[in-house]
Amino acid sequence: MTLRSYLILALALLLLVTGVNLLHQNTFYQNNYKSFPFAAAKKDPFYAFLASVSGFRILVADILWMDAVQYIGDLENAKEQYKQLYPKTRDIITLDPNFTYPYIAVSGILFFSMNEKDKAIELIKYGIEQNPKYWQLNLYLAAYTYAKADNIKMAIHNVESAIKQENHPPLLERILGSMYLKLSEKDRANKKFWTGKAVSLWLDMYEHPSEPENRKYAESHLKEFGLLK
Amino acid sequence: MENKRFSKILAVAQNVLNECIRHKILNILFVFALALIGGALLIEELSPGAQGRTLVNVGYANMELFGFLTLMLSLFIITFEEIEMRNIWLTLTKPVSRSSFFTGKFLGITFVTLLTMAVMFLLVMGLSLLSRVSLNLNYLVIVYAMSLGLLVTIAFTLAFITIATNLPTGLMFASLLFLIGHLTEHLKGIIAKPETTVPAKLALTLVYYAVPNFSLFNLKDKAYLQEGGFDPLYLLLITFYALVFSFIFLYIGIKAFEKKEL
Repeated sequence: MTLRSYLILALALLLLVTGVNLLHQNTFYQNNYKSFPFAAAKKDPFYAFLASVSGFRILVADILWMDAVQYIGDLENAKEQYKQLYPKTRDIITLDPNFTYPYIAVSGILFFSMNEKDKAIELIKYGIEQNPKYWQLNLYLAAYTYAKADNIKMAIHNVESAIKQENHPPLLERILGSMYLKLSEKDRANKKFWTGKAVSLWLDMYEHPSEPENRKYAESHLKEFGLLK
Repeated sequence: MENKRFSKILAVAQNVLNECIRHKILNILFVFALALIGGALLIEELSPGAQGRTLVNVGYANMELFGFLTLMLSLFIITFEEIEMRNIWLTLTKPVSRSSFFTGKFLGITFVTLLTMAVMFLLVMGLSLLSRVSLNLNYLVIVYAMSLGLLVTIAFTLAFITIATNLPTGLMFASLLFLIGHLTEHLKGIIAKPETTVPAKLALTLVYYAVPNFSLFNLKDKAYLQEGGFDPLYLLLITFYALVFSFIFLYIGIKAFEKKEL
């Protein structure tokens, strides 16, 4: 190797170090290359190790999901009340927090079949934290909070979050209107406030309808309240 | 002069491609297709609610695995024929410099690998379409990043088999580096820990920069991010990273090959 060769290599190494440092400052890198949650994966470090070594983190999450499905399907596990289901799901979402299906499916099983309401709500809340744009999770949380403690206010809050997302179904807006009306009957002290919320929603639906059905729905309610002739 | 040199490099690359086809290395694609279709049938049964996602993920995992196998097999067969069967003597007696030969070999293997990747990508996407998975540009970007990782792998494998005294040792070292490269990102966490001593931090930082970081090319694990598409600047930076790393390994490989006794 000549001096020229060493100089070329040194220059290339300098470029490499500069490139790595530029990568470290990149927003996409900073947001998505966080260190692996080894502490959370302590319970079963084998899958964490496998996912790290192979670079197949979400594939391992998929395989663990298949395992969880088999666990649910095995009637033998009913004897122990499917107690491994929640830890198994935690493993899956530790590896891939953006895997949305387990949040929905497992929280439903926990809430309705196993009566583990708090765990179901905790799971779905974690899902919303990790996937704020996935409106279906807000709907599930709304349903759980309402079913658990008749907490219509919390349900309204979650449906409101869901309709802020661009791809929400238009039907949700109509449901929200009805929920406001129901609450205005229940919470008599704040009747004016909740009716006002419903009216403002209907006005918005009337002026900017997501679908013709919403405009018709808003029109009929506005007429009922004497705000339209 | 430069044009002549480039045409010699291309001739060597074309020869590598022809040899790979002659040795039926591309038959690996049939194994890939069988594994993928077989896997798809199983997934349909085993992964309710996530069939489409699992199918694509299994496809990507197979692509990376079979891409790696293709390049290792190609390098093994080509280098074995060159060195053990003395084919290289015929080429080097012609006015082809060792650096042109080495670069041509790199280009040839790269072309074979990219060809394999392209066919595998089409197969995965075809199967995904049949399974009604909604596809987008991200799926292509993931394969692009994966190919960058394989490009660096080709470069360091070529360098290793040139420096090593025998072919299996070189391939073994290259495979180990490929594995370790997937762990490089985790070194950052160990370096940042307060209990790590200063000498250990220095040594680990050196390793962090010296070993290719394959996590950077691993966009398949970021396929379901909520933000949508991948950052173009990030893609540009990893392209730069892959090119610089490939250049360093190729340069070392060429220098070693120029001195090597055949």
